[in-house]
Amino acid sequence: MNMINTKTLLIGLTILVLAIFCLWSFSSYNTLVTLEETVGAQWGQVENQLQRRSDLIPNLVNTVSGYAAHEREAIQAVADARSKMAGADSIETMAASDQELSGALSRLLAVVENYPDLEADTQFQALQDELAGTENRIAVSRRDYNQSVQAYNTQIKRFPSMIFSAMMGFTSKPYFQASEGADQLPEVNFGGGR
Amino acid sequence: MKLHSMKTHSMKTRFIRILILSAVLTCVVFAHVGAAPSPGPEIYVLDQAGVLSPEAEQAIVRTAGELDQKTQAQVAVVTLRGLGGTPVEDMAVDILRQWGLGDPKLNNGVLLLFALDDREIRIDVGYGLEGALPDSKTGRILDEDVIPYFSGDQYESGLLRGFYRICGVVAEEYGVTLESGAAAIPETAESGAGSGSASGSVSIAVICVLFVIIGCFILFVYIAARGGRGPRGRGPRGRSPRGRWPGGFGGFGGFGGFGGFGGGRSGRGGFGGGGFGGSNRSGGGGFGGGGNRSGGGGNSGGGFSGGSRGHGGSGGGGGSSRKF
Repeated sequence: MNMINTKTLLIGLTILVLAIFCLWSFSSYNTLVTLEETVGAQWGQVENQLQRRSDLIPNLVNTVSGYAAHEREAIQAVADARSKMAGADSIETMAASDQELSGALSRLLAVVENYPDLEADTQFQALQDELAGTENRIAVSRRDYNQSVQAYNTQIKRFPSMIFSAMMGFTSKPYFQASEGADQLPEVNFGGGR
Repeated sequence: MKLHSMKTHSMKTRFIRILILSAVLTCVVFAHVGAAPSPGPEIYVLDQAGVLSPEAEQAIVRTAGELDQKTQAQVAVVTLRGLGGTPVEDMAVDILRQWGLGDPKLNNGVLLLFALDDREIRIDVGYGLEGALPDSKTGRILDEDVIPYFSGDQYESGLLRGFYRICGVVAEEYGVTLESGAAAIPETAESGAGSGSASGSVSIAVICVLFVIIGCFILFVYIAARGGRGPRGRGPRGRSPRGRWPGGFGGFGGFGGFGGFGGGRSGRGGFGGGGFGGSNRSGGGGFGGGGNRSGGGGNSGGGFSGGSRGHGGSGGGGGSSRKF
């Protein structure tokens, strides 16, 4: 009698523990999936805004060429950075070329200050606003993306869910940031340009 | 009976405590997330730099409130003394998101942010309105309507003009017309605000009366329907339901009060909008929320959109900034 009771108790306990484990793993899995999806969605935003900037550039280059054709170097640097960006295949190289493009654009816009006619052009002013706004959107979406990556990476590295995430093949995701070396790329170009 | 009332009393106290606690927690969270200020009683305007007259603030609240009611889009004007080293773009996005300007799905919040000491101004636009207000347009509004009207240390008329321009563009985007203010971009801020105020309060009074009438009508239909269904022989039809209903609606009133938390549209409805105790008497039968009773002085509009709080919009980052 007593034996049977202990046995049932043990079985009951095992079932309970298993049930709790199952429930925990479901919720843990769901959390990870949600976080991963968020990272994906935020990355989509970053790509969107990068694309938007790339689309604005031909227009800008045309307008600037009309007024300041001999600023070929500054214009060329923007065009080059843009095509490099289009060819980027990983988040790291994308971040690097993003930084390079931002640098080239701001140098172009600085050069343009020597051309009052161009500065007064309403179409150019509109373009400049759109570019500045897009740069800011990129900054915002980059921040959002990095935050979502941080949330995701933290979750898969934290202790109990760590076991599970390793089992299910969740791996950590890269931040959108340029490496140390890429930081200097625009400056090298700038020096060479002189 | 006594026991019952004591119980409700202690529950009420607990509920109020929870509310206070959550309000404090919200403030703490806001304080930590960034340097962004928390909204005042009205989501549409916060004048920390002290450059807006009370009339201008009222005009902003009226027009933005009307726009909000008609389109769910929220336009806010925020003036700060300084940015504390935060870039104006970051500050604008932080405010837009933390205040939840605009509808969470439509993301149609717009912020006109003015920093006095840093001499910077920015219009930040939620994703949902970027079609109507692309960056080039916000830049033009700043260049043509706002900055030229700054003179000396007078910023009010420039800010008001910019605000009305934005509201006009948004209203046009949604195909609605605004009765209050937008048409009358003030030559001088005072005269514009004065004339706007009369028509504004009249239209709000009309809306209030309409709501009360509609509320009474619905109540009447409801009671009539109930009375009609009941067995006829049981004495006068309306009486027993009518006796019971106000109490029953009290529960709804409580919810209305919760919506009012954060201030009624008048800003004087204040905490809870009196929704807790007064709910039983709100004539609208919970229709407009319990807030009606103490918010009555103001144009609480029945806590319909939960007072003037953000709808929970996020996003932004589009828009233009200028130094002035």
